[in-house]
Amino acid sequence: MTYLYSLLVMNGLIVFILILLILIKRYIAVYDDYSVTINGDKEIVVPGGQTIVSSLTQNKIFLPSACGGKGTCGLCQVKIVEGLTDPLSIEEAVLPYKEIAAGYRLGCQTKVRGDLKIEIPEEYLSVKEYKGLISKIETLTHDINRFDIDLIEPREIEFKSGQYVVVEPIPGETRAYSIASIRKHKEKISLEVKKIPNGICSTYMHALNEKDELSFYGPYGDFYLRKNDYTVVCVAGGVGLAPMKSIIDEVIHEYPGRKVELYYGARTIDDMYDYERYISLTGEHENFKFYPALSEVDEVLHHPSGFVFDTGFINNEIAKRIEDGNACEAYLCGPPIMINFCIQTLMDKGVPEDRIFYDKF
Amino acid sequence: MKTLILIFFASVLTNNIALTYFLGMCPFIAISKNTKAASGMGMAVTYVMVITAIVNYTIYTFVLIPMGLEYLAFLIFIIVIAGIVQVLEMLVERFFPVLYTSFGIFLPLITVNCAILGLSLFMILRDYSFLQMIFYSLGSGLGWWLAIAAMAGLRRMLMLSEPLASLGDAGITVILAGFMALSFFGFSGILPA
Ligand SMILES: Cc1cc2nc3c(=O)[nH]c(=O)nc-3n(C[C@H](O)[C@H](O)[C@H](O)COP(=O)(O)OP(=O)(O)OC[C@H]3O[C@@H](n4cnc5c(N)ncnc54)[C@H](O)[C@@H]3O)c2cc1C
Ligand code: FES
Repeated sequence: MTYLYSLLVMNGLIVFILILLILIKRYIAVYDDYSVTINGDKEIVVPGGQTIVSSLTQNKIFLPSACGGKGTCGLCQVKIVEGLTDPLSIEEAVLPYKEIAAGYRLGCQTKVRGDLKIEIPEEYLSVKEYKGLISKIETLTHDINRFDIDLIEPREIEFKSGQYVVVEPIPGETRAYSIASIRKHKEKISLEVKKIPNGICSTYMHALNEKDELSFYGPYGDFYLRKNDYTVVCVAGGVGLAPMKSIIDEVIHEYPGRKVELYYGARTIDDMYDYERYISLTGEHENFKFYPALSEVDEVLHHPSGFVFDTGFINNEIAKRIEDGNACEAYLCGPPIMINFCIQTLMDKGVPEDRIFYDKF
Repeated sequence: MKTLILIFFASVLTNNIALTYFLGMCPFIAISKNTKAASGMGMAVTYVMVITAIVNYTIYTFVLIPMGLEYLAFLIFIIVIAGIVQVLEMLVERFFPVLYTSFGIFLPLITVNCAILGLSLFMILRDYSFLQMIFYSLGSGLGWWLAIAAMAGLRRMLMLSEPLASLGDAGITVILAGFMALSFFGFSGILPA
């Protein structure tokens, strides 16, 4: 008999709590609809109680995200002009104090609890969801694959060299990948993805096969080639090479006479890819220079073409090669530590801070 | 009345649930880096402690004891705590957005805070009456709040000093907690044995 009682009590309690939760959710914790005005002209009406990001997503406005709404990447920030609430502690941890004070909040954390007026970069309004078909997968190194993707719907993408797209392997998990193909080919893009042990999205990507479909959002990012005459200094660490291809291609083909240099760092030659392409490019274009460096190799490596792969970290290479920093503009992509060191070196060399652009992977 | 006041002060000071039983240590160490967050956490713990203690007490006295099911207490308490935290989160978010902002992510974290479960278990071990239970849970909550707020204050001072680097952040915090526990011992004089 006691067994029956205990079953009854346990299950009764659980059922009671469940019913209570459902009732509260259904009848008590309900929110009104609120209006969200974007950039002063576009107005949408959304149910309250959900995050700004999900409200916008339902209306086909896609804010960038590389953390899947966990509040760690800071990419989803929006400026709240009207309807500002106190910052959450997550937001205080991610956003600089000045931005918080200026009304910036994380779209994935701040919820719609009243009418809002927000400002987001105008180009986000043109971000679309793309569907593509993987036409080719190429193994570049032991842990980096290149995915060539033919666009199905919409059939063309416009992006600036260096921008990235966002992949969402499971709902809510979003990751950014730089576009590793050139801008001229509008009907397809390539992504280069490094496999991270136990990484959710990179593992998903590496499990894809040719002819599989892949959806993504984009393009995003203010890491793109600026129009001017400065020498372009590209600094790539590992898979940070991905966005450089289109930047270098654009400089070479659309800015006659503009110089471009690629500093490419990796641990060993086995972690490098595409270097043959850049070695032959140095032969074809005198304005292009290529400086590879291997950090975990003791001896300078001589490529059959006569090209030299230096040893050491890539910032040493920058320190050695750059002469007039003030004539340069720098684009950096790679692991955060590398970027921090390289920014320091570049600034020591006289590159102005506002001409240093980077994406930390 | 006297016992009630005794129970209250004992649970705030001399039998502080964080510093004498070392319960609820993970948020105690993780969230005491910043005073505002620590206070938010302390407040959330206090609320949840009082409410769960009342509900658990009621279920225990009026359902479990009459049916002879005391051995289920442990499971039931856990379920009740999880359920209450969920309900509270939904209600606070809906009706007290400002409070919700200051709780932040702490409210859901409390589901797995052992101080809350410990409190419910202690209260039945000690055979408290309803009123005693209220004072006990309120005192324990405030005590935990006091402890984490004090710890956050101490850790702010740490920024000005240079503890051994090899201790790391958590290491020095545990040592500080030890010192705090010792100093809270000093309070034992204020209560009759
Ligand atoms: C603007 C931008 C552009 C990017 N472009 C590219 C790109 O072109 N190609 C590319 O491969 N990646 C790129 N990334 C990184 C990418 O978005 C993911 O962070 C990465 O693929 C890991 O995601 P995951 O889901 O596999 O791992 P997660 O599941 O997020 O992480 C699993 C674990 O691995 C750790 N981890 C995450 N990243 C790394 C790392 N780089 N090295 C070591 N450990 C790590 C995490 O801390 C975690 O513990 C870019 C990121 C940004 C912000
Ligand atoms: S902080 Fe990454 S999506 Fe909001």
